[in-house]
Amino acid sequence: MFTPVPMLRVDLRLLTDDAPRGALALAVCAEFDPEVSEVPADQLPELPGESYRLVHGEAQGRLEKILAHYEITDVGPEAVPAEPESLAQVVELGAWLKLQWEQCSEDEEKVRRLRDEHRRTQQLLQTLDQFMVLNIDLTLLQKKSEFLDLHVGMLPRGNAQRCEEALSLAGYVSIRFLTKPDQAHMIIAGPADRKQEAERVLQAAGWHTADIPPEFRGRPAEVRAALTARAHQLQTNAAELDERRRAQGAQDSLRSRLLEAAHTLARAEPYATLAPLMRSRGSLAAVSGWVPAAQLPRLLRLLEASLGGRYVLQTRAPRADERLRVPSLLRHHRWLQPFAALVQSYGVPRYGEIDPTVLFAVSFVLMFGMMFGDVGHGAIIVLAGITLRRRLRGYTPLVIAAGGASMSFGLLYGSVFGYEHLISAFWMSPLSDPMRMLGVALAWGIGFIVLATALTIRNCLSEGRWHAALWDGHGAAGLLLYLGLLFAAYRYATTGGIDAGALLGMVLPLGVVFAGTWQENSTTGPGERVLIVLVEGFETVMSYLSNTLSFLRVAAFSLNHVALAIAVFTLGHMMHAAGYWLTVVLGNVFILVLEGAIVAIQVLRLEYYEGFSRFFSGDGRAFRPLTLRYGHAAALKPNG
Amino acid sequence: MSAARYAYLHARVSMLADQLLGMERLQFLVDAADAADTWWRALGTRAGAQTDDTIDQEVVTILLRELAVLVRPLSGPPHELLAYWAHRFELSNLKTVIRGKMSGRPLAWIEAQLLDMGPFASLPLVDLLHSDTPAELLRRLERSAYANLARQARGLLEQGKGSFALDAALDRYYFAGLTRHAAAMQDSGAHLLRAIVGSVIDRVNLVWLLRYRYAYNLPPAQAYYLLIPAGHRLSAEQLLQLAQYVSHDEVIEHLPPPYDALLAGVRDTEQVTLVLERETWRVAANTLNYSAFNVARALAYLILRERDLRRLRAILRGHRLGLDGALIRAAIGLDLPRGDGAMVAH
Repeated sequence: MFTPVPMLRVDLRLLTDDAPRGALALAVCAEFDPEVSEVPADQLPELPGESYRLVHGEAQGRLEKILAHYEITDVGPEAVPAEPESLAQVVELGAWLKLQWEQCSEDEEKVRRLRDEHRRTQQLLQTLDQFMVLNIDLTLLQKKSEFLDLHVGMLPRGNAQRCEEALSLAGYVSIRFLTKPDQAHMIIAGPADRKQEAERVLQAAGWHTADIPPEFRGRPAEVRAALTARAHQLQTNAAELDERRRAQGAQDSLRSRLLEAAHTLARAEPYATLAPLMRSRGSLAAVSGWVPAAQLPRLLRLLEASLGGRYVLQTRAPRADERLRVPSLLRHHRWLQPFAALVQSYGVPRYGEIDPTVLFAVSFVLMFGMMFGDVGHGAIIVLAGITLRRRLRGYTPLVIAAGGASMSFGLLYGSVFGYEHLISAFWMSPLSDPMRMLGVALAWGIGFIVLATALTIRNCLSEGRWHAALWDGHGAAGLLLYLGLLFAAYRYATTGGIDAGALLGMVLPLGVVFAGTWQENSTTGPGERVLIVLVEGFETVMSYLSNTLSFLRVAAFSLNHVALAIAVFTLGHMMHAAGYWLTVVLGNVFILVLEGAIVAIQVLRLEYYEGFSRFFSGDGRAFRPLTLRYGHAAALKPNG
Repeated sequence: MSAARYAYLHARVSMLADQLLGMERLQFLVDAADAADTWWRALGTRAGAQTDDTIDQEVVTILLRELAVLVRPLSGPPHELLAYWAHRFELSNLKTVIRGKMSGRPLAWIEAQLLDMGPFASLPLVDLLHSDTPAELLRRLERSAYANLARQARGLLEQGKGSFALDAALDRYYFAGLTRHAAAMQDSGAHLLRAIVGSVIDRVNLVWLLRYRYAYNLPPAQAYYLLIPAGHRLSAEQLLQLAQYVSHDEVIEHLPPPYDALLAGVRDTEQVTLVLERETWRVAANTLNYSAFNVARALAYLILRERDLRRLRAILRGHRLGLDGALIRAAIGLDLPRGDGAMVAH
């Protein structure tokens, strides 16, 4: 519960011919995390599953494309355990899938062409808009003539008149067929022998020639009707293709064949996955990995049933030097899963390191409740968690627990939707004694930091890092320094001064931290060493102080919660009855959404930065067992 | 304003710039095989035997790792510009996949040629690799951020144009994008940035022009059309004019300053490439050494770092093949006259 599940390193030796069957048994067990074998590559130089992996990869890739083409998403687990496929069978299946995919790909290409054609037709319709006012056959504008020089295009509106006048000198006529605020669209025609003269004028006037697409044949209205009909036809064709695709996908024979193929490839997948890690020489193959110690008997049963004694399985406990390679498997109750997810978003605990999920869950819920204590708001959060459970999925317990904690602290504070007179407080309203709230928050923070530092020491000891556990600023010396600082602060607050005992309680551990840092930096020069010692000592003291003060926010937000409610009521009282209730409701929604979110973020911040960053390295490797892609009825049963 | 905005970037670039190889160190690495190998290992490269492919991948990995550090504090156009710089490795992957699929290469062969882009990957490589035909590949590419490129590539393939046209289109797409990103920069160091990017574009345009016109014998109009529609000291009009000359030497003679002096007497395209690369390094080194608090320094560092890593790669290959120092120096251009960008940034 507080550390990852104990693991065993297993080395499985089996006959090369049995490798696919052995891989399937490991996947059915779903408790084997494969890893690179310790046997030197020159002893087992072959990769027996390499061609199997390549063939499987291609077939699986095609299958996924076909399933996506026919929109088949739910393959479902296989009901009965079965033998893995041979390489020949996977090759044969791959060939069938290739044929199927060629047909699908052809259909997709047809749809793509129709879509491109439709897009082009739409663009043509947009281009046609500028010619709609012309009631002439557009083919005429595309013809080249020996005697007539014809231009269609646009120019800045301000230049249009002068350009027309200038062109008339060259014997050209112009027709403005469309005038926009900034541009004039024109047709210009004149004698071909004065073409160069006209072009110079047009260039000076900022003329842009409009290309008339060859599809524009006939009058604009006729072209539009033809293009619209074409766009409609293209849409109909695309819809027909889509309908045909759906009908094919719904055919029982094809669907069942594809599902069978999916299961076949799922059975082949474990061996294909193990292929880069499984090595062999002749008829002997070997693969290594990690198994939870408690699951070893089950793994042995499945291997026995599958391989019938034709295997050797060696196990050993993890060595100290491979701690970072051992995967961490965390098993938690369903209710703790959302908290575990938040812990893992920071990092995966190292093997042997304390798994902070339970501590995180308890402290998260308590701090959220204390900072957002209100029976009404808490009840709404609980109701939201229950109502939105499908959308929240795994996070439902977290929302309900946070709401419950908010309700509990609401009872202690006597607060219901900000009203403090509806129920009597079991403890006190935060605003009635802010100093006491701050004191409680400070005590909570001290407890939190002491616990976090104790966990740091424990983790260092478990990893054999004695120096860090004893002399480091975050180890035993640091903890004593922190306690010394707290004692000195207490003496100063109660007596107005710091006596020799309190001073010694601070100076001695600080000296130990200095000495530890000095020793740790033995390779650096003396000047730099002194600087490092002083800076690190200063940083240790400051981080303890600032981290402790950081917990004052727990009280600050509980006071803030009451203050916001008072602000809402003050605004409400400035209005009449309807306005009052509207303000109170909207104010509560504001508090619930905005302050609720801020409090959640602040709690997470306290957990991550004041807690996890002290004792939790988070650089572990998550346990990722070999499994069957679509699950397996037998695999779902415990000790199956 | 820009000092506050780029304080972290400036400090990071300055720290990284200490790694750049000075001329003396480079000469030493050419002469000492063990030292070159040790230097290479010290860059955090993977242990084990190094082949040409793994070294190429390591070069890209190191550059992308450092790029990730540099872009972390940036947002908006500066972030987009530096991240875009890494796109060319991705376009190289895209070329490999398209070529591989067009020539019917097996999946494993294509996979082996690809560069790992790490966090800068944006191509749907798995989807592309699992395409059975070039048409399917382009359909899948069309669903990615490279949709325009896919349409352009399809047009070229439908016209029956080969991989040369496709490669040219991909390169033009990349460099046009680089120019666009540089143009979007508006802060104080933007002119330095545009000078570096412009120097790269000028080099590419001039080298392509020489190659298209006098190696592939393309007509002036086609050669000009295939160039990048941008430049720094070589404007579109100048390139149009240069495209019409009938020989390599005539183009070199009519180049505008400073390229006329730099390339005077250079008679082959490889030498033109080397000289203009040096000019880019010189511009980058000046920016790195004599400017502060801007994105241009980061780009300058990346260009110089890539130069160093490629030189180191050549040195390692040279040592592995048992070549003598003079040949290795020639291969990495150390035998050319000084005045290049091999100066170390401070």
